Amino acid sequence: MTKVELIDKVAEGLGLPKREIEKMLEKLISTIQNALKAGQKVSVAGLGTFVVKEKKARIARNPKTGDSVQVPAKRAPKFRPGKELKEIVQ
Amino acid sequence: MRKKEQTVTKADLAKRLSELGLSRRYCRRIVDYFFSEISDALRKGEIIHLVGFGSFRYKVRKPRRGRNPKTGAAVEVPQKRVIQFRPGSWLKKKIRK
Repeated sequence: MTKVELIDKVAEGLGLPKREIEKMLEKLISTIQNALKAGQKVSVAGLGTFVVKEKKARIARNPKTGDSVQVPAKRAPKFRPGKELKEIVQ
Repeated sequence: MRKKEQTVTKADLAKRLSELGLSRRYCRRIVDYFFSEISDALRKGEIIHLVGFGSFRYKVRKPRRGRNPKTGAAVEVPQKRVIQFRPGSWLKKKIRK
């Protein structure tokens, strides 16, 4: 399912113009992104939680050449599925 | 983003969407609708690609023989489906700082 298909479904289900729903989805995504960027958690009941994980700097290896490379500390987005979602896919 | 400063809920998301002009209550319905369509698609086994954000899919985890860490007894862990979210490169970049 792509963004366009998601927009179509929601627009159809709610009887709103696609353009309107598209703006909503963009806003929804940017709100989640900004919250994560600010270090907040985004908790979506029924689906799961988006969190930001701090990753420490580490020394890794280039699997091809075997050279060690320094990987800097970084922050990465993570999603933890909620109970309902875990059950829904079984 | 009231309550615990650290957590953004669906109500907070609806509040932000209402800045586009619809009532907060209606925006709450829209937010719910988006997320339920996503979980519906996952249930059907679809991969959901949201450009700029990331993709959701499920992966099948093979059955394995595990152990009860407390008693040491062997237990069969059945095949399971687990949800995977892969952040898009744009989101990764944005978060990295």
